[in-house]
Amino acid sequence: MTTPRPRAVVIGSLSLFVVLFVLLTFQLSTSTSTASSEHRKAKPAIVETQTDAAPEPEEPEPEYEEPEVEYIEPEVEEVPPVVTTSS
Amino acid sequence: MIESIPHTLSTQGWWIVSRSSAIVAFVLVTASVFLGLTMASKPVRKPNFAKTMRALHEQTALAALVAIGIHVLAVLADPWLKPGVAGVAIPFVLSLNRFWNGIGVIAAYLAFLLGLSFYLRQRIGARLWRQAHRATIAVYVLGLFHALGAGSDTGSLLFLAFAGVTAVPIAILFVYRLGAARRSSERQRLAARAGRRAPLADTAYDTV
Repeated sequence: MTTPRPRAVVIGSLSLFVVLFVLLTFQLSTSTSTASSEHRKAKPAIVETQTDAAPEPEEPEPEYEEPEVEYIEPEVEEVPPVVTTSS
Repeated sequence: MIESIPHTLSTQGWWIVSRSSAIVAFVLVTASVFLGLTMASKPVRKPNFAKTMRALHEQTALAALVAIGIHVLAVLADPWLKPGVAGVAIPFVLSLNRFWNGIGVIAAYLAFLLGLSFYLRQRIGARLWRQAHRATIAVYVLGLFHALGAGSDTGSLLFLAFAGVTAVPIAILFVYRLGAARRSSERQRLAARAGRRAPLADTAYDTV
């Protein structure tokens, strides 16, 4: 087994890079013709912050209504006093 | 479609470079870690085999560092992302996918630090270098999570298949390597107690 030359790794890496570059370029070129591009799909967070969206109208807060509580007087049962007689 | 290629390259060229270089870097880091762990597990005890594996391990590691460098520069140059120098140099500063990009920055620093420490091992000592070099698995793990969490192409079946197929043997080899290292240190301790040196056969490949 002979020691591999660095050229093989360099050529392999460069080839992979070029293939990926061409594939991704073609992929993005086809998607730019459509309405939503891949770039925007992949990075939605910044797109949201970059667009100047109109502020939504504020909904009026509902007024707080205090519930009416009917006062009910507690019924008190009258107990006649117990009278004890001593004989 | 052909007409839109110049427009794509002018607007998203750097993004394409960063994606391509990231995939190349991940493939090379995976290959380098796999080769290193295979070397350390010593499947074939022939000097030529070790020499070839060591050369491939070193070459893939250096190529990975170049690919990581290109990836960082391409992200820095991306006119849409505009990360700034701090965004690519300081972990967890970039707001987009903060956590996943943060661990990517840490993985890049570790890759350069541990990868280039090979050329300083005579200064820092072989023993210390070997211990530090075992942490290289962290570069692979952090890189994998960075790719899965922040990568634009991690949804593709091809990437997931590659990551899955390579992660299993790397995990097995790493566990085997940990066991072998423990056994080796145990043997050396027993040999030292017996008043003789440990067999050199186990340390001959120990560059990983």
